[in-house]
Amino acid sequence: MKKNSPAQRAAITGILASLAIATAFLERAVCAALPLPPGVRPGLSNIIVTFACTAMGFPYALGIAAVKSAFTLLSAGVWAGILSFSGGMISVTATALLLRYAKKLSYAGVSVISACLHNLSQLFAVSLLSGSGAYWYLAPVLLLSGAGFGLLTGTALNAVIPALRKLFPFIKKG
Amino acid sequence: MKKDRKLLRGADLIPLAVILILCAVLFIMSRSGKKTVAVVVENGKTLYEIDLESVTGEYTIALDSGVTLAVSPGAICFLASDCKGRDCIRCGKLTSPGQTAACLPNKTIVYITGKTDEKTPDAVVY
Repeated sequence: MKKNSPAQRAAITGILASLAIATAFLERAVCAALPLPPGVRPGLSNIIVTFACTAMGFPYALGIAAVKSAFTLLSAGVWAGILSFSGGMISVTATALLLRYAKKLSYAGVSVISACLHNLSQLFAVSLLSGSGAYWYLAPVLLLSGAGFGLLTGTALNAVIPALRKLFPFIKKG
Repeated sequence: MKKDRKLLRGADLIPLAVILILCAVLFIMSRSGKKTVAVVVENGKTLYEIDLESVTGEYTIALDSGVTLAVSPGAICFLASDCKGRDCIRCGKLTSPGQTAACLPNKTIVYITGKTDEKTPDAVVY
């Protein structure tokens, strides 16, 4: 098979999408056992999406985030699906823009900003759909958790990138 | 050949500092006030404002949305809900200003705020 051919990129996108779904599923199962404030999630699938963004490009990462949101919609309900979609689209767009223009930031810095924007866009979506601004009381908790978990997932991405490069040696560097 | 990004850079401190300052400001704003008041919002409407310091016994509030809240001296929590995830119940007891619990499927949110108005009634029912 020709290296970096459309077929190969489609196959890798499929693998990354299934990895994103698997991490999201695992995360939900683990978080269900923990007394976390509403909306607080580690966002482990962010590792996969950011990798897709840097290695394959914005459209592929957007597609992976959309597939993950569709899985959330089917498995966790309409509200969770809407929140996943709104957060996913904003955070992937932010990640792509930051990777392109904020060259001085590390993956951890990019993840921190995109995680916080992910959480804020979810708050915006909930407020818009419910017609209530009361949900903004969650903003400090969600910003703080976004910063903490963004730092964690960005650092994790740095750690797993060498292994991912061995699997996909031909993909571009970010 | 282009290299991958480093683990951490000095520039990363800028967004982290901005976020931490923003959190601190929002948190201090939500805690300001003398009274600890629990606000219950359902479908975008404020249903109850309960001064938790004046609560002497334990009681429950059943909402139309399918949520039951438990109120006790100084605390409020989601006791039961017909939602799928039960995240609201896992939030546990809310006791201090700034704490929030929500049941999104039932469009219900409970948060604790500080009220400065000394004339705030013990409980308001809309």
